[in-house]
Amino acid sequence: MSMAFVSAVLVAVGLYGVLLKRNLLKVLIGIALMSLGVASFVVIAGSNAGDVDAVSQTVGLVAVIGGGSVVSLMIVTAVRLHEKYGTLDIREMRRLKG
Amino acid sequence: MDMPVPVLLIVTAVLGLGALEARSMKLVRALVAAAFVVFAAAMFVAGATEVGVGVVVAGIIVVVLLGWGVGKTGGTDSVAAFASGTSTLTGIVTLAAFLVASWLALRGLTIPAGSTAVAHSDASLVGLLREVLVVVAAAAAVWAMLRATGRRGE
Amino acid sequence: MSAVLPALVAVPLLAALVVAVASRGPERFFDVVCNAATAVILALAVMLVGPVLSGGPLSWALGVSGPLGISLSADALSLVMLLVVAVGSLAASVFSVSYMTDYTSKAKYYVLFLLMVAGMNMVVLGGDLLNMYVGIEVAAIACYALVAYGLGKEYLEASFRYQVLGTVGTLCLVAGIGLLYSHTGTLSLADLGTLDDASGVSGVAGTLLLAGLALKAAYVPFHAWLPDAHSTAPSPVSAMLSGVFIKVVGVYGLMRLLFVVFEPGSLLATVLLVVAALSIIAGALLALVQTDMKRLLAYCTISQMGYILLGIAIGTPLALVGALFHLVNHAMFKELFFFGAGSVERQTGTRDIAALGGLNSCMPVTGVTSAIGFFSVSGCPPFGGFWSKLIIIVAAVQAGQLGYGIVAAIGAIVTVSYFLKYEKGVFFGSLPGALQSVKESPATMWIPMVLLAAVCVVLGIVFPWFIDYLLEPAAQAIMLGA
Repeated sequence: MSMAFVSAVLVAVGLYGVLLKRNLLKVLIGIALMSLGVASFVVIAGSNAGDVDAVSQTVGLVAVIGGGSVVSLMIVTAVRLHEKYGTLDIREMRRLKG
Repeated sequence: MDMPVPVLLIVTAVLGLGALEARSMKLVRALVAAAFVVFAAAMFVAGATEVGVGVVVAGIIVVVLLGWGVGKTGGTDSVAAFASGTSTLTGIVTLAAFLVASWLALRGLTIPAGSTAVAHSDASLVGLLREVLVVVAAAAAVWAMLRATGRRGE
Repeated sequence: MSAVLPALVAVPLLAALVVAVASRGPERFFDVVCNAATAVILALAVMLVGPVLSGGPLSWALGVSGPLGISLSADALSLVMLLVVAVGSLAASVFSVSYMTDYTSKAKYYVLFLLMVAGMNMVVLGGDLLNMYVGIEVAAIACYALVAYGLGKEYLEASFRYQVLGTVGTLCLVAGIGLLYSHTGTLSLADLGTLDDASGVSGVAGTLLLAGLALKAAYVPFHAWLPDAHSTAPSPVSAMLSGVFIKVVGVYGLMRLLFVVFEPGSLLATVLLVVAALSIIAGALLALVQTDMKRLLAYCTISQMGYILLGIAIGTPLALVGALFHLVNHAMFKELFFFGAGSVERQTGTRDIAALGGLNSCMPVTGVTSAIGFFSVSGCPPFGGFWSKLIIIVAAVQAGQLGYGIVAAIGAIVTVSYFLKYEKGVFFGSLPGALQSVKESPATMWIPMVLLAAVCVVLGIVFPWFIDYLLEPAAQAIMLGA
């Protein structure tokens, strides 16, 4: 299923952001990309000659809405953290490690 | 599955990578918006209209909030490019392992092409209600964190 | 009677709405609304016990039945979880009345709290994986905000990290669900139970689901977020998180999928056994070195969750009963402990065991109830914790997993040691000068502690009846997929 692997690549790009980026906003962009990747994976898994199964679509939608919701919350959290620390750098924050 | 879909997904990935690497937060925001648009297109082409619409809505919210967030935190990513030391190494190793594992796992998979698309009609409305629930929870969470909550005296 | 099912989700949602709309009103109003809502939920849950146990599972659907609509169902396992959630949330709600006066904007707190309860009820009542998942998402989002509630540095950090790891977990779950569906064509728990799987898809889907659940339940090595999140959150939130939430979103999912996707004896089951053992030992050893009361409790949670997982992974009826019983016991005494820690922190201003001591003299109720919790978690007869651990160890031996039984026993000994340190350091010994004027916490804080302590005692005494009446049918429900 090479098509599904493309989804995995998208997830990997997001994962790169989550694992290796130090700027909080970049980390959450990584999460957003991972959500899109997973959604595309679910859609691909559920497609059958151009038509996507309704349940698979719902699952994909849930991935996107859920991911988007948490990313929104993360943005607010990041802004609050910036207020407290004066930076968006993870390294500056005491307990957050890679 | 049409050819365009994997291509569009790759483009999304590239745009996403660009967003992660860019220094100017305005550019980052533009690239994120573009990634969402391209991805939505991919979903529509693939026949997943529900998902496409969801992506558009989520994308609008995220990009708007990102704009607000960037406004509050400064316009450039002045954080140094890479975390140094062991955490970078483990990060790279994990990423590589993930790609290898996905390749191996997905290679042997054949998804049986037997599922039929079920009729939407009133099913969508109830499903939508469920999504609304998730969004409400997120809205409540954002509302709580946006305004001044916290310990008294902090 | 099946109308009770949506009510269990609708009541907390409505209450949240009421509080949100009236958010500029008097605090007392919110206290009443939230406590009334949780009391109603407990009553509803109790109402379900008879009909479900005698008449079989109940179900309810809005729109199309199945994942496209909202479908809820309640069997014996759902019942056990519902009762745990209901008792736990009522206790936390009462405790919050006084405790949360230290924080601003109680209204927002209660809204998030009620959303979390609604989400959790939806999880345990979800008739298919997708409805369960939406419940997990709703509850998790509410939790992310609740963990950050103090909006101080620590809380925000802990919350951000939790958000990242939690979302990676939920994405794993979604991927697993999507894959499972495309392979089996169904997400309904009942149908999945009867399926026969030959191909490797279940393996991949199973791994994804397991990874997601492990992240949510903080099994080693995915436990990193828990100590920060559970120790920095306000105490009633910590109590709910450790006592109820991680079980609902982590353990419960695992139980439902156990014979469906994870067969005991398979490779995945062995992985579960190893993870369980690691969690028991690592959690216990790490707890031993903590000086912060709540961090110690958080590591204890990781360890005790290992016990529950051990019972599940062994998979025999006896092991499942042990796991369920330990789940219930742990919910009760863990909430009790977090309330105690919260009490101590609020009255003395510190959570540092080294700086405390001799509190039995000025905070007798907190002291006694904590001591009861200590006996239960240490596995001392005749308290509930003793029986549940014993059952798990016996089940391990009976199933030929002697090594794991020994691990569990060793873990129990370490548990006693770190809790002895906890009790001695906080409640016994001499009272430091700085704490001379400390008084017992207000009634709304010690009443839930007394009630939970009473439950610990009662469970230890009536456990045979409890097991026969409630836990056995729940274990049967898990085994339906076998």
